[in-house]
Amino acid sequence: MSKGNEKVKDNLKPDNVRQYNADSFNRLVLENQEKIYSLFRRMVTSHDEADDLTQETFIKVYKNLSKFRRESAPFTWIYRIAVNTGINYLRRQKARQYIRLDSADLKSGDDVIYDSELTNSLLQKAIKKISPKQQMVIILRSYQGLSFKEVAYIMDSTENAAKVNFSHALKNLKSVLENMGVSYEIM
Amino acid sequence: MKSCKDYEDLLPLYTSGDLSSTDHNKVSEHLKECKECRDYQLSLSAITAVMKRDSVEMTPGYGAELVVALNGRLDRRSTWQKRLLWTIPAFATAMAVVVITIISLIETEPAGNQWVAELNRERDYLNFTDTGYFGEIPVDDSDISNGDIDLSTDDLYRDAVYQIVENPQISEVDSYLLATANLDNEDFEKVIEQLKYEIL
Repeated sequence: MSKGNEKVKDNLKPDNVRQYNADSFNRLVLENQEKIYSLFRRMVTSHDEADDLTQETFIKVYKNLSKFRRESAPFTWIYRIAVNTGINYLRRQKARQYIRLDSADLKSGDDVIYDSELTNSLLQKAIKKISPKQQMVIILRSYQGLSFKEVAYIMDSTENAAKVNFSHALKNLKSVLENMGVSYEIM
Repeated sequence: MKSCKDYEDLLPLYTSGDLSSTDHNKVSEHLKECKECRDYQLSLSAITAVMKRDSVEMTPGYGAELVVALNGRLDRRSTWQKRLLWTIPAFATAMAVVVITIISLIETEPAGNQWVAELNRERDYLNFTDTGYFGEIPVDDSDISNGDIDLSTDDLYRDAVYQIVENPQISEVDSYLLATANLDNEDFEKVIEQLKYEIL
């Protein structure tokens, strides 16, 4: 057997394959963790929640590495897993909120805006009040700066549907902010 | 001509810069004329401006921490999977032992009903006779000595006459007694008639 063949055979040993998978996985995590963490950080209130969701996403990425066909960029494929994870999480959270009948945020005096920092946090609150899918479109397009083509792939829809969804999401967000007593001049 | 409602649907995409140049120009023209739509568009601009300014603060070294945490979780998962893989054959072996024990208990229990007893007897018979399954079943001679063989009347006459006339080994009186022992009166008369004919 030639040296080249021996090298190929060595590379195919289970331990080497596992090591290769672990290395590629770690590289994928390092390259995409910032995007995925910031997506979740805008979606949820605390760092711990965002961290949990980020880990859950990458565990799913690891489990499904063999299914990745390389028909799209790895980051859009990871985004796709993250968005599904996020939407499921938001739906569970919403169900809990309905049970608690928590509407204390609406029209409360605490929502008066004085500076941009407060506006950011208020906007985060408002975003959490629109539907999970609309939240995702807003975050992906406006915060993460992805194109509608990428948003469409991640959300498993068409580009036009993504645009319509974004349009509705922005309008709903404006209504929610008005209900919270937001004045746009201050923003 | 488009109404304000139609433009309202286009305003979010106008604000984010995602309209075609034709649609963008149409909306711009409408905004010059319509204060209500202009206010609406300004509020959307304010929202998207805040979004663009907003950035998420990452803890320094978060990426490395995440990699460590993920590898730890995956290692624990793989340990559990290995443990589960060991559990499956162990469980299968235990089940096999239980099944074998149950079967052996059933086998050693004495036959509880007549049918099983019959079956066992037949099996034993086939196993222990020299003739085998398709051989002749041996005749029990004791049945003949008990007088259970069904002979015809003619056979009896012939036998009686033979005993009286031709058998030299027994006395004359004994031969009469033996010959007529199994006959009723009517048959006895017939034997006498036949004897007269044979002797005289």
